[in-house]
Amino acid sequence: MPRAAAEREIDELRRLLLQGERERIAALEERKLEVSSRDVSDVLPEAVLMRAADDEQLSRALAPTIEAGIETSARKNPQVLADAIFPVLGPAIRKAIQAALAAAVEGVNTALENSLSIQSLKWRWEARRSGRPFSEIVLVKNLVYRVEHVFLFHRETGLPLAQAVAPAVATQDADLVATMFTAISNWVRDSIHLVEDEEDSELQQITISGARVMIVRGPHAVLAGVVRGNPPTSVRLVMQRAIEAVHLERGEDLVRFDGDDTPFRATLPHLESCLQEQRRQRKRSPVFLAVMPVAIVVLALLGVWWGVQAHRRSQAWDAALEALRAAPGYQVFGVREEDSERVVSGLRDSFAAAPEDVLLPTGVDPDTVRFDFDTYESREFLERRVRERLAAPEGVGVDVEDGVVTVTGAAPTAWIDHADRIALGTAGVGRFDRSELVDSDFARMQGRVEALDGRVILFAAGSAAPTVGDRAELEGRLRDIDEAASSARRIVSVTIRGGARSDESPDGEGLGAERAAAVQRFVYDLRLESVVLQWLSGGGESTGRFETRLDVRILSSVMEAPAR
Amino acid sequence: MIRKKICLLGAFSVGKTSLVQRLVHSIFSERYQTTVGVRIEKKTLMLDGNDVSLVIWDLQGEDEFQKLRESYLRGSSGALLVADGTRPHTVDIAILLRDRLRDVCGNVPAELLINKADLTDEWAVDPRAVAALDGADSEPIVTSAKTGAGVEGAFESLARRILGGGA
Repeated sequence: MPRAAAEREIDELRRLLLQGERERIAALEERKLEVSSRDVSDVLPEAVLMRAADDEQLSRALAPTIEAGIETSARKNPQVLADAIFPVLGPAIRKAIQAALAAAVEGVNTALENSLSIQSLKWRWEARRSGRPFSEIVLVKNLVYRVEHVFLFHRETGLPLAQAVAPAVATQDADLVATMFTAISNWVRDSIHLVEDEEDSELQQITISGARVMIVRGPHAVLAGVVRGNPPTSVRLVMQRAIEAVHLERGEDLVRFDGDDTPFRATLPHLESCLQEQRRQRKRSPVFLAVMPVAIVVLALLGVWWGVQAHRRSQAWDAALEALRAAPGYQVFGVREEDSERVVSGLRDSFAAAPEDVLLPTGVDPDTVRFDFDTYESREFLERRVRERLAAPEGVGVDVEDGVVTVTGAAPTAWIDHADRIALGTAGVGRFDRSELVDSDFARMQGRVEALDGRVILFAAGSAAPTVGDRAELEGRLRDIDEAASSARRIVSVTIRGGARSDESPDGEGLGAERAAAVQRFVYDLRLESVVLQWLSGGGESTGRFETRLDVRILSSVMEAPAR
Repeated sequence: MIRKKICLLGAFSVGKTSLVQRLVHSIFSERYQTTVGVRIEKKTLMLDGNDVSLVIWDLQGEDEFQKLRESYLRGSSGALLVADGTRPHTVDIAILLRDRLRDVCGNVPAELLINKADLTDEWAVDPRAVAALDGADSEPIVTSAKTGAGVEGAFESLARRILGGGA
């Protein structure tokens, strides 16, 4: 059979046998990409889980993409991210605040408890004597123990893996501390071969004054805790459990450790569980416990007493103010505090009682109060004020009612003038009624004037000289009138009419004039101040009587006395 | 952060502590202080954008009376072997110490430092001859703790070899 024919037959045979498979392969090749994506999506979750269980390559590979994704999301719409992390934000913040507050409260508590007590004075003395800071003494005296610092380090290299620090403790350079621990441990192990078994000759504890370093070891890592005070054995157990947990969780990382401490950040909770402490319970002494209730009761009673006193003082003060307001002649405007002194201000009538006398019965000590009163004239003291100012003489009645001052009886002119001025010059007086008051000086003057009026002076026939008896009487009467007129502040005028009998003088008028002139001269020579010679007449009246008559008149009831 | 433990090894009085003081604190003291046991210092270097923290174990000098504590070497990622250029036998001690290091830590990187470059007039050691010594895995580095010459470079070179080798 020719070669070409044979090949055709073989091809035909292939087609018959493999046609189905060929078509399927072609179809598969066409769907290659699509199938691949779907297949990946089927196995992806499982693959991620498996790879994550094996190592951290996947996390490292995904980290940049996830970080970039978060950054993009935050930049694009921060709200989405904010909403997503909102549920964890609250608890996280609360936890942080609680931790910060707890640390602050602890500090304040310690400071308060130890700030000013006999104990603290002792400790301050001890601090001064030993040259150590006071805070350190307080800490040591208050704490039974406290794990302040925990280091996890690699056993072989001595390099630090992680560290945890108690609140308010200064952090140390973990590299140097951990390495020094290792060096010291190595030195101890190499130098002091107490036990054959190497494990037992390991350094377990370093003790320094007041502090110690407790060390627990695992196959690949060492945990060292810096402890102040006297820790119980339970602390070592806790540390032991922590180092075991670290080996359990990070055993492989410990074996493969190449200087990178990143995988050991996850061990922090185990380290923090070792940061234990116990504070000294302050025992109250029996005396203190016995005295305390008594002290509380006494303090309570003192408080009540003080409260009652304060209430009383307040009440007394209110009553005092009320008394001042009610007292006649007071107008209280206000009370103010000035240099821890109470100052009462207002108006006070000079006739009012002294403010000290008003306050005294109310129980308020007047020495604790200062008074700042201006003077005023109150209506309540009007009658008293008017009476006092008028100073009415005996025989004068004064009545003050509704601003009307009424005087009755008899009074000298001088007082009446004074009363006129005073009464109407006093605030609160609306009217001064003295219609019922008799001017005693005026009445006296009037009586004397009336007695002299019409007096006839007789002359010897043909004579122009008054008789001695008439002269004496006339002088006495005129002087009395002058005195009364002076008191009554009046002027009295005297008119003299001279006359003569017709048989005495052919022109009776001449002798009459002579006689009038003689009387005038006589009166003039008396130098009277309130008596004036008003009119001189020489002509006798046609009464047919030969006499000289005096007409005496009060000139004016308002004329002032001439100046003396 | 990556941390690495390294050791400073060498005969007594070759200047190990001075090298560390120069590196860490940038100071040098003429006063000689014998290191008893070990001194620990730390230096953070920036290599290719990454921080590397070197925890340096400055071990006491080796002589016939003070033998090296091998436990101090354990866990070291590398070592600086320090010799004194004015005392040829310190190079021999450095070579011996390198062998001890390899016994304890395996084949970790080690740099040989010929110190006291400021006293080259008194030098009795030829660095090129030292380089030809059996087993030397790199050129010796000439340093001076007094002037600071080569000090940082020596530590950096060791750090690079440690990280490059993935120790």
